[in-house]
Amino acid sequence: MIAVESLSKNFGSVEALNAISFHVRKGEIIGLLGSNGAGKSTLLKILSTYLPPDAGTITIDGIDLLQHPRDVRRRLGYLTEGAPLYPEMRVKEYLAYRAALKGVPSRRIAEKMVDVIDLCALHSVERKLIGSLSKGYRQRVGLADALVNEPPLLLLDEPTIGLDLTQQQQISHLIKGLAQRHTVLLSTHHLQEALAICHRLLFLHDGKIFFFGTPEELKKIDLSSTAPPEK
Amino acid sequence: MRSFWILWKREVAAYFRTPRATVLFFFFLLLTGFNFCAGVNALNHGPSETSIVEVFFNTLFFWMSFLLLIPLLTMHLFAEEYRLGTMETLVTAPVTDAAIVLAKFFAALLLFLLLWAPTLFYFILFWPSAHQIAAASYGAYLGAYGMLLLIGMFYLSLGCLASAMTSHQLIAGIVSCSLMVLFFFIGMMTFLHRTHSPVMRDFVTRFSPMEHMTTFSRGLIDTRPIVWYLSMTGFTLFLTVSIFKQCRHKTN
Repeated sequence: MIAVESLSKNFGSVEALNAISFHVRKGEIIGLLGSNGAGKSTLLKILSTYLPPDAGTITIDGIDLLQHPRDVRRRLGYLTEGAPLYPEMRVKEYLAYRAALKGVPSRRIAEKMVDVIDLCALHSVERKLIGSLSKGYRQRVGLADALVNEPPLLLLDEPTIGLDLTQQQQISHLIKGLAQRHTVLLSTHHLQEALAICHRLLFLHDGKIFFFGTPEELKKIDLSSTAPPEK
Repeated sequence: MRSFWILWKREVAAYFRTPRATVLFFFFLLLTGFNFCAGVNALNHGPSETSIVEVFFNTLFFWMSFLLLIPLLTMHLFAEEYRLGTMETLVTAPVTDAAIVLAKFFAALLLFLLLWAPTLFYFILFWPSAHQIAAASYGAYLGAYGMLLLIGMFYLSLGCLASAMTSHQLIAGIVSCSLMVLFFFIGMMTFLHRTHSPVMRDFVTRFSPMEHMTTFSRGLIDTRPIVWYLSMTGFTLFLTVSIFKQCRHKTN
């Protein structure tokens, strides 16, 4: 589903990503972990076509990201950090707008909205102004937006940040259920959350891949003998 | 094309979902209403060869309201999206940069036209109250409102350009004001440097929006300003798309 080869990105003299390579299979949930500034968000921003890479190649669902960014965008749902939304729009209205923008045919928009409103449990707020919603509901609206066109690939940048424990569990449960129909790349600071829901974990440290494997493989290695990956 | 309409509809609706449009309509109509009254009062002093249409479109109040309106319509277009972070979700949807820029520009243009539309009623009301028509020919209306549209398009494109460069609405407003003032006064440079030759003066005044409006509000249609404003609008929008491509991920 995702093939990344020798991907590099610099911000001035700061090396955000240093020639990283990895492959992700269809239907996998990959946990992206690392300390602040490790390169997690930069990687997601590049995969979402928001940021251009400095070097390397990326293929998503067999499509070259650099050559055909719009085709890649049709195949992905992206929840950005903090789920930025238009506060003056109502939830249902916003989801209808995003569905149309992502190319969902007009006759199918209503049906898709019912699906994502069900999935993300947004019934109680569907007519409310986004600006009046709590952070937890905003995250859900962001997630519903990412899911509304049923993309094969989901990029979720810290979907549980700032949420209380109950909300975190609800979102984690929701993401776990997505693996049947989507490939998910999930950036998080919570190792326990990643261990619970991800098939494989990708640790980034100073822009390099520190570990990429299953939670079981992670438990076998002695992390203290190498660089510290995560809090 | 479909994505352009979807974006355009959201942009237009965004003006009305916030108090922005209501506040703009209120103060703008107050200002233009005052401008119309001032024009009628000026004509009441004695016989005049100028029509109320010509007076209305050439006063200080007209240009003041015109120049104030543009930044208020455009400064939020890109800057607000950068500030909210919604630009990231917008550009990672399958839409082109040109569609985003054009949707924002045409939404601002529609609001610009909606704001000016009620001023037509001033001239319609003028006839029963003053017992004479507001202008000698339909060409005067066509010329004045046509020129308003052309100058408006160019200045709105300058506003879009300024907003695409920054995440601060205030800075966008100041930059667009500066650009507009630059183009507005370019035709008045000869007043500052009186030593210019008549040829130079004639050349420079060809770029003056005040000159263009005076000519067009008399019902005299000249193709040169039309070409100038249309080409400058096209060029500025092209520049906006290019700058937006470069700035969109740097202005967080």
